Amino acid sequence: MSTRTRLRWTLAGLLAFGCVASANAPALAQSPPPPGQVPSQVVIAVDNDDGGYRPSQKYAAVRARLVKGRALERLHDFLSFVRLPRKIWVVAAECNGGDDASPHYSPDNRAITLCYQFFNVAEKAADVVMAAAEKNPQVLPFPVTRDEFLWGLLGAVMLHESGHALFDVLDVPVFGREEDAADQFAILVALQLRPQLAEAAVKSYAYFWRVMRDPDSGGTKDGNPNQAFSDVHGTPSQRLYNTLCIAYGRAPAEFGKFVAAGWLPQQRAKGCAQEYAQLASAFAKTIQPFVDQKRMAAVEGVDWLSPNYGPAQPAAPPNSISKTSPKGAPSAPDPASAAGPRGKGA
Amino acid sequence: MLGAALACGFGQAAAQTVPVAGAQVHISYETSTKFSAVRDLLQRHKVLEKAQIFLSPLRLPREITIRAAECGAPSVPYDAQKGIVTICYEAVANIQGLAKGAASDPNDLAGLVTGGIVEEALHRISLAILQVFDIPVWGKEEDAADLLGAFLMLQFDAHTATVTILGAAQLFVANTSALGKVDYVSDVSPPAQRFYNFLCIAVGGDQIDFGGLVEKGFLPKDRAEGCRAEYEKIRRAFDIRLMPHVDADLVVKIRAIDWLNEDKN
Repeated sequence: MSTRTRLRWTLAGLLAFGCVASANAPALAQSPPPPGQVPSQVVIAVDNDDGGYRPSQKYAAVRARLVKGRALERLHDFLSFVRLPRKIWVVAAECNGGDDASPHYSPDNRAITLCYQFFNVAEKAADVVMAAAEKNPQVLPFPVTRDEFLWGLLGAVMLHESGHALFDVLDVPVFGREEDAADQFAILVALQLRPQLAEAAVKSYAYFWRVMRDPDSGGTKDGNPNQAFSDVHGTPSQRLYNTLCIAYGRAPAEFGKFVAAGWLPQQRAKGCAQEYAQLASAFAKTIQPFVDQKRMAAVEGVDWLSPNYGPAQPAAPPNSISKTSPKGAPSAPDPASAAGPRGKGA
Repeated sequence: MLGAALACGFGQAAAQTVPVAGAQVHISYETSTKFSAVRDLLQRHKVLEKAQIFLSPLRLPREITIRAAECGAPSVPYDAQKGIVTICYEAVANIQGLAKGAASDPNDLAGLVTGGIVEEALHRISLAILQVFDIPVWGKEEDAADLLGAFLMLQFDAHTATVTILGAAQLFVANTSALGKVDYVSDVSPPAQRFYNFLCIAVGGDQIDFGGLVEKGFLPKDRAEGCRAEYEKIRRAFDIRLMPHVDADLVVKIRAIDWLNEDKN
């Protein structure tokens, strides 16, 4: 079985995290395995029987949406394709850091935290993208619906955080900037999907970065390098071009539209095949050996895009006693890592 | 002063015992009418010979040549087929120009030029090493070469590490000002970003010598808090992928070299 095939379902599963848009997705033949019961080193960090979805007054609607879509269960099941040597935890919560808090992976407790706040950021970005498309449908190289944008973006973000987690627990040597590497992981995996899913992830991530703002004072400020460039993340424009370059390098016929439309300048585009080859080689050497063939085969064909992933089941009341959070697991949003510099934010 | 900073030719003993592990590293200063002064500078200070010695602990799977040459461009990629690493005279001339515009005194100028040349050389060599050993690179290759270069600089003796790292960092500042606008498209990070990446590895790797960069505000505290982890990450990557190809006994000898003061001895 090829790497591409093996990766197909795994990304499909993770992208199904964006189940808000899955109603129109084509159904596959088989039913999913029981959610949350797939053997996995990924643990949903339950606390007081909250199902891993921490209570939040401010973001109650977002929480309800994630619970209904079984986002954490999907992520749990999806990541089971990797034979992780150590456990990682996944949790959804209102994070510290205010409205800008974004999903992140913290190596301190090996937890991926899905911050409720990011859903509002994604909605605002969707407003901008949809308004631009309504004004001029030609402005976007690939048309996109609001739901498609949201789930494509959220799927890419979750892949980004999964990349951080795998780099950590698999002890992957990262010679470049890790935030760039996590973006690379996300897009590389997305590109192994069926074309329409790959397109959804790539264009949504690209459109998101297109509408975000770069540092506003160029490279210098008062004669010194602008401190906005000290961030561990690339600027939105850099992340846009990196995303498009990987996609174009992998599939120039499909994503040449971005070059033709001027979104990916020719000066960068000409080296993208080589950039993709470097990336594919890095994956093959550092992560592929941990892929579990049996698990992969077991869940292949699962309808990861189904709006009803497993039996409908509301989250348990958040005041009962937890029986599943192991010692050391993030039983509550960790104030130190929720949006802090040590976390690997999106 | 420039001579003092660059006068890191190795003493007779060092020159006679250039360790050779694995395949040879060849060097070549190519002639150039236009850049004869640059060529003379590099040759006078034995820049390529020093690079040759610095690389000697590495058990290369093939012969490589480090060549200084007029390129018709600021840089040329590593020639994987022929195994040629090129340091372009144009890049060195650009470093000299930026340094002259940014330096406050002759000492400062010497540090800027030294740091700039060493950074350029290590960057080019790092790109070649990544390819020669077919090392998996996550993140952009150009950034990887920067981070690996900064990590290698920290392996110099303390004085040389300080001069080269601060000099290279100042050059990134000068380059940021000279460019004026940011190129977001390129796979090479803008010099402002390279500046902070570089300082972060330095602070993360040697808090005692470089911690002052944070106290003085050159590196924001938000970034500095994670620099130890960033340094450990590049060191871990080096340990996993490159250390198996390194002769540890030779590394000790290389680390014992007082690179910038060797001529005085």
